[in-house]
Amino acid sequence: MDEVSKIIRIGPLDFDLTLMGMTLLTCIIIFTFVYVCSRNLEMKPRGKQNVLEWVIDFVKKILSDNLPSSEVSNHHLFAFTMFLFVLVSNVIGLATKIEIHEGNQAVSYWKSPTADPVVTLTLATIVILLTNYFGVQKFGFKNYFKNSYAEPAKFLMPIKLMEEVTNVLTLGLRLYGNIYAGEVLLTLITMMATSKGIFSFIPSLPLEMIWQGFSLFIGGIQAFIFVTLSTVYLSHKIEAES
Amino acid sequence: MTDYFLIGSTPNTTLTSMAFVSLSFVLLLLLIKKFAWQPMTKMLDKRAETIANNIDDAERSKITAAQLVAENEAILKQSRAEAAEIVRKAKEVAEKDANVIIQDAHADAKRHLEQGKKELEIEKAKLIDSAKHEVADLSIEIAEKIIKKELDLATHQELINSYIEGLGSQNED
Repeated sequence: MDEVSKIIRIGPLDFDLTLMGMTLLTCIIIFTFVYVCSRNLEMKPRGKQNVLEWVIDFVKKILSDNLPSSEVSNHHLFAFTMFLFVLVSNVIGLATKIEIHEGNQAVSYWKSPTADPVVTLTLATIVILLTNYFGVQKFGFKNYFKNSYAEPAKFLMPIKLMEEVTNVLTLGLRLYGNIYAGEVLLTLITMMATSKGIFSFIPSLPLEMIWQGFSLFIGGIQAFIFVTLSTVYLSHKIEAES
Repeated sequence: MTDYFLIGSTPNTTLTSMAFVSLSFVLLLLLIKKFAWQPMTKMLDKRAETIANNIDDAERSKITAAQLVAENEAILKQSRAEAAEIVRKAKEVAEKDANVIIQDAHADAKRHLEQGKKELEIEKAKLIDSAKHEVADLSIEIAEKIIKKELDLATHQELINSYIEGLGSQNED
């Protein structure tokens, strides 16, 4: 259970190699998918182009449900990238498990990037910072501040300000909790499978499959929720309430 | 595991990980934008435009077609009216002609009849004339024979003629 990532030290900085590797792999997978699917674009979509268009439309639907239609195209690319990043991050850890024992530690080389709170909180921070940035961009600082924190009543301002912090925490930790819990159970099932040889291996197999399927579902749902909530927070900042 | 819940308790990798994730996310976003998003949105816009144009074209074609149909119907109606008019005129002319021909024929027939009658009268008159002469001659001969006396033809001709005329008028009465 006490999994640790591979950590290397370069100069004064420590680097979490597992996390960085998996993040990089996620990016490569997403870029490859998007790049391959967007070759030879046609007016009449066929095959892989349909897949990409479906994802784009799916994200567009999320945006247009929460934002005024004039704002949808401005944030479409960001939401699209975020959705794919979170989705692939969520499910990539389900594929396999690589553990190498180094000394008395089991060092893990494969995990979902989003099973790490640092990653999810980073993503949540990016989202919240960007929503505030877009608010300032749209209304100017004064009006942005008034619209975001002084409406509908001034005495709510402390709560509203605190909400920014809690939004980061809830957005990040919800994702982390879901994915991390899934990985923990996967690890437990794997441990059970290897504990008693063939007798525990065979019954664990369907269990692992079921849990992987469920985690796949959870991963999709969480990616959807993450983008939806980001859009909602964004709409609070760029829509005038009065 | 408790390490994870205390944010910042693992300061050795948190900052680098955050930087790496942020950087890779931004990089991914830019790469997608450069290589996929722009062609994609361009294509989507073009498609939307094409579809809108097609719909407009269809609408226009529909209107044009309706106009054409209306025009054709009007033309057809006009042609029908013209055809009916032509037939009606032809009938009228034919009827008129027929009447003229019949009238001519009637007139002709009448003329012929009258001519015939006239000729008949003339013939009759001639016949009567010649008969008169013959009767006169005969009467003279008969009178010659009866009275056995020579009579001057020229002096008595008038007398006899008046007698026969008297006979003729008596007969006519």
